[in-house]
Amino acid sequence: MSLQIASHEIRHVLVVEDNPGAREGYQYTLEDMDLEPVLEMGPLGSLDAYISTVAGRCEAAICDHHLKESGYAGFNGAKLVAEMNSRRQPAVLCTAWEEAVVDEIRLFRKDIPCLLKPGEFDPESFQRALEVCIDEFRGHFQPSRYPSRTLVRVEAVDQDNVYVVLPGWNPQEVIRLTRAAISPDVHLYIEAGARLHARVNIGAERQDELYFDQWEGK
Amino acid sequence: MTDARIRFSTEILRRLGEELNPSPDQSLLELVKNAYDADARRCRVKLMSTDAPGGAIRISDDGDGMELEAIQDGWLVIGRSGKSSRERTRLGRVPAGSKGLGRLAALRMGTAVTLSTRPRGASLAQYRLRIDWTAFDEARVVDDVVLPIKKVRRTLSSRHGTEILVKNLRSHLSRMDVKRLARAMILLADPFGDDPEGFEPVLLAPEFGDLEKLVRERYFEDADYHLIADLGGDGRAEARVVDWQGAELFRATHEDLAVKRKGETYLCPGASFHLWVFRLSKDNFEPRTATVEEVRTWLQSFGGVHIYYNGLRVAPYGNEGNDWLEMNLRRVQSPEERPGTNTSIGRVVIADDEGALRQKTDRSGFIEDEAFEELKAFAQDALEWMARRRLHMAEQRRALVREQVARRSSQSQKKVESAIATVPEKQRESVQLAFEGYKKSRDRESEQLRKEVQLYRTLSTAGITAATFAHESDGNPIKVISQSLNAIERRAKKELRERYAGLLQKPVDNISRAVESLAVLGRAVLRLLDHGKRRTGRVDLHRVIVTVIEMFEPFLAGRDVTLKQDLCEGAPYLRGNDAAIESILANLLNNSLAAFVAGGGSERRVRVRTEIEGQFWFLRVSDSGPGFQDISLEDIWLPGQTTRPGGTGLGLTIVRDAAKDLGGTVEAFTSSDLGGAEVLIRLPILGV
Repeated sequence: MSLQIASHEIRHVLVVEDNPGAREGYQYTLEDMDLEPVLEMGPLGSLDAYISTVAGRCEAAICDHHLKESGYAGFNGAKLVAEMNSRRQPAVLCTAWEEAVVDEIRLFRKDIPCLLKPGEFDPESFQRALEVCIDEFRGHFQPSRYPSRTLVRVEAVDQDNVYVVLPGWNPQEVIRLTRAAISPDVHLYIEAGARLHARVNIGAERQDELYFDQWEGK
Repeated sequence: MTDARIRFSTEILRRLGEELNPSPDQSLLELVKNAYDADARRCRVKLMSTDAPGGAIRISDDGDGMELEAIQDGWLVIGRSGKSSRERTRLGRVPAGSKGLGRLAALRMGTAVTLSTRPRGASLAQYRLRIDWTAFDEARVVDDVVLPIKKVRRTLSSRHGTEILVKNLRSHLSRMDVKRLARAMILLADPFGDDPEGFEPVLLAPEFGDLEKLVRERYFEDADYHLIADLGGDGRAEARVVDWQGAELFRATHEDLAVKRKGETYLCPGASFHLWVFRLSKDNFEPRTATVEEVRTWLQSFGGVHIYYNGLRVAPYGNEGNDWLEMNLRRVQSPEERPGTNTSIGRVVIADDEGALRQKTDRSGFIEDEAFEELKAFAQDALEWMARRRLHMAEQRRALVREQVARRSSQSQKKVESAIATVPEKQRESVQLAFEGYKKSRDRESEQLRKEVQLYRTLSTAGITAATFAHESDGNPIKVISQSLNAIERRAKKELRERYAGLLQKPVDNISRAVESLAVLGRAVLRLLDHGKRRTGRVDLHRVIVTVIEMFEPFLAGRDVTLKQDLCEGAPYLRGNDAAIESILANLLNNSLAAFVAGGGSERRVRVRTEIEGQFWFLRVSDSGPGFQDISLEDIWLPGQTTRPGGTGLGLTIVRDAAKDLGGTVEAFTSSDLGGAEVLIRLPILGV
């Protein structure tokens, strides 16, 4: 059996997860969807080496974020998922949203259309997530993902972080961005009170869903 | 038999050049690298009217130029790997080894390009070649376009070298493109090194001049620490850290550095890693000539760890926002004594004749294979070692301060005692008595402080352990349980159909609720550790209260507790940090939950009420538990005081300290209208 979403026929789903128990957990769900799980046992080495082995073995992927700690892979899941999606291979990231993870994932969020929490992962949510990915490949964005050019006001700056407000999203809420989340092109302009522009999905409901792209300085 | 050939459509030229080298600065940099390969000492890039389409770019160098064969079999050949020619050049340089794709992209930036080259040597030849890209657009395959190379006699005075003119640019260069190109050219040939005979690329643009001035400032001598780590060809490393005067502070053998890998060698080419670390505080810079602002600006432009591979810089390592050694991440995890990319500058110099490291075709760094990962491990191990040594030094410093304080205190005591001895005998006894009293109360205060320090150490340990547990449980066991449970539910429903509800529904729901409670606990711990919550700023009190209540909701439901939220009108705020308010409410809710275990009515109720009176905000948390029992209301705030077996007795102490830090007060009542305890927090606010 396979899943047909637009022109994508999905039969084999790559499971990238360092914990054997959790890997099996994904396997059960995928089997219940009549899909064929392709379990990656690891170690997966570097992303550059690994990514070239992915094509041809699967049509989609589900991926945990924390892969480096256990030595299972030389990269974290967000990077892999973003890379696959940018290659038009639907991939879904499944992780809890802790602050440190939000920072890291934000760097790749543009190419991660859908993120699931571990407890949310079931056949319906996974199928929906794949549909969202494929819709984005076709240029159809969910309202919460549609990027718009918007004003980014810098409120404060410290050594590692920049605190910004997006009046077009929520003028009351301060968003902490790591410097790495901001294009180096505009680093020169970053100071308290500076007004920058970027493309941001201002339809997002939560702060951790926001992604920033195409920064513009003065 | 008929012979046939694979031929390439002219379209491929555009795709190869443009798709593999997306940015104009990187493409132009390839032409500058060609000049380096030709042993040029100087290479000038002149931008002419490039702020609009139709402009031109001239790249000229004083290198060895090209003979006819070199143009035909080298310059015009695209895609041949540089790895086949690792031979060093006349000046001993290892060729940058481009496959010609970047060059193609640069040459195609305009609609036409002319090459003029004068080879080094006795001949006075000069070769001229013009490529008109529109001819390719009209042709079917690449081979159809013939490119005539003209040989002309050059004047005696004209020196060897090459000049490329890219004409009629298809699009303009933005200010950012120019800035990026200027920075990339300045950093290309290690401006931090000391090689006066080196390669000096120059961009004729104002952006270049400013940056170049900045790069020449060289504030290395203002660094507080200079790490020098060397990795030999045999994979063994050594390192040392010197201070600003070059005096050695620490030294490491290979075994000290490679602790994590149990002394195994690094499987990568030899390398040398230098890192200059700055403590960017005003006090630290006071006695120096450079100001902290100057050094900060310099580090903002050039900070980070750059890689120089066979003499030339490899982007993007060390670019703004590139933290390939994960220095900032480690600094966030453990800030003490660690450098970040904004507080340090460094370079890893690699000499790799064998070509063990391979650059990506799109010139976006090295392929992250084993050799590169090993190189990274070497640099990271050196950083880890330096951090360990510096921490050790900081610990020694703290121990010394403790010792000095104790010594000084005892010296002061002796001084006072000898002063008392000089007091007339009549008054001496009363002064002596007063001093003894003072000493006793001071000792008591010290003892109390020691206990508090111990308490907070215990708390920190508990926090760290809880965070580790939370990370682990949220990531693994909880995920496994919830996914397996979902599978059981789905499959059982399918197999058992209507019998499922009677047989399994309840136990499955119970596990599901229990897992959610566990996850909530874990997340609560992790959220308390959020970086931003400890930052001082405006705190919207009701927003924090609502967030904490939401965080506790599943857990309260699991304990069959009903929480009533009764918040007053308005949005009161104060200056402080979210973490403090969170600590207050989370500890009070924990207390109520614990109280229900001890007894109380059959109904478990908690009420969180807020009120505003003048410039004060009141938070009143009441419950229907048994109230404070077997302990006086005064003692409940003391650290370690608990009537609950296994309780820490720390929760209310934290509530008191957090409220005090915000300029507020706390008050407790044995019973409330709900029947149990009530705690009232009163905090001054800035507005509503």
